[in-house]
Amino acid sequence: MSNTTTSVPPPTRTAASRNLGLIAIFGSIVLALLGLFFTAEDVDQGSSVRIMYVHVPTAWVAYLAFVFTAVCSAGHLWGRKHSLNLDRLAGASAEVGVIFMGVTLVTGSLWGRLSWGTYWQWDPRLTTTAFLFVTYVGYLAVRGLGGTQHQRAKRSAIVALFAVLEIPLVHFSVLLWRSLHQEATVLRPNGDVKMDGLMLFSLVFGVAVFTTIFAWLVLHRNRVLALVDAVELRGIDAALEARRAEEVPS
Amino acid sequence: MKHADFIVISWVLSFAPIALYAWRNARRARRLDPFVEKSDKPWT
Repeated sequence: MSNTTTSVPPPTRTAASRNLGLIAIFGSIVLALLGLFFTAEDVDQGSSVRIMYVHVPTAWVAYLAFVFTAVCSAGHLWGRKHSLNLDRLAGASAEVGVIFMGVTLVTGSLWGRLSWGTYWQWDPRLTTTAFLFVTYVGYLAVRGLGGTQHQRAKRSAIVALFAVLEIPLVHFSVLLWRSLHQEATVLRPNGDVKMDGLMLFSLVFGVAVFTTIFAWLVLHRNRVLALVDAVELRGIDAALEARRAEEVPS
Repeated sequence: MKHADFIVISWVLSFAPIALYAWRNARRARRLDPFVEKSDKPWT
């Protein structure tokens, strides 16, 4: 049987990562039940508020992913060992963050169609979020440029440390400028949460579920990137060996 | 489209990319596995 068939467990799997994945799947099912069936409709928005249970958690966890990328990048740049594992964690986290931010934009667009009657507006929150998304797509492109693994790590770490500065701009854009997007309901500066009990619970539960999914994906992606780097190094080693063999006079 | 369609599509589009990404990662890992040594997989 081929080693690439789906019946063979991926080499990145461990008992812990498997359990984390099962928790993520079970949590997603519970979240769907809460968000789609058990929570009440909103007084103003009706049933369209059910999009909130995926839209808001993916946005928050995307922020978390980008902050984690910056922390790992700082660890790589200023750490004594300049760990490549921290660089791979930064890259894995940014990839997952881009997926979550993409989900935020798509679900926000669908929610906007229901609430505002349009899929897109060049509103401060929407525009800054799209800009953040494009910035991290650019970060991933920078990671794909040539050079050694340490050159890649240093270059992308610097980009990550600048890119993370956009997050406060996105979060506070609804306060800084006149925006169609509603202001924060939970993370308000005065700490006053304006949400019903079960709705708030489901939202916080959604954040927990997507954080678990994030951890699970990053864990696996980090290991895949380690395998990619190992194969690359082996390829370089093999090429050097071949070159040395050619240079030996016969 | 009906109101409910937007909600269902939102939920499907939230989880579909995540599932696809997880599946692609697993496939990539399986394809790389024959080219690495056990020492390249310290988590095992």
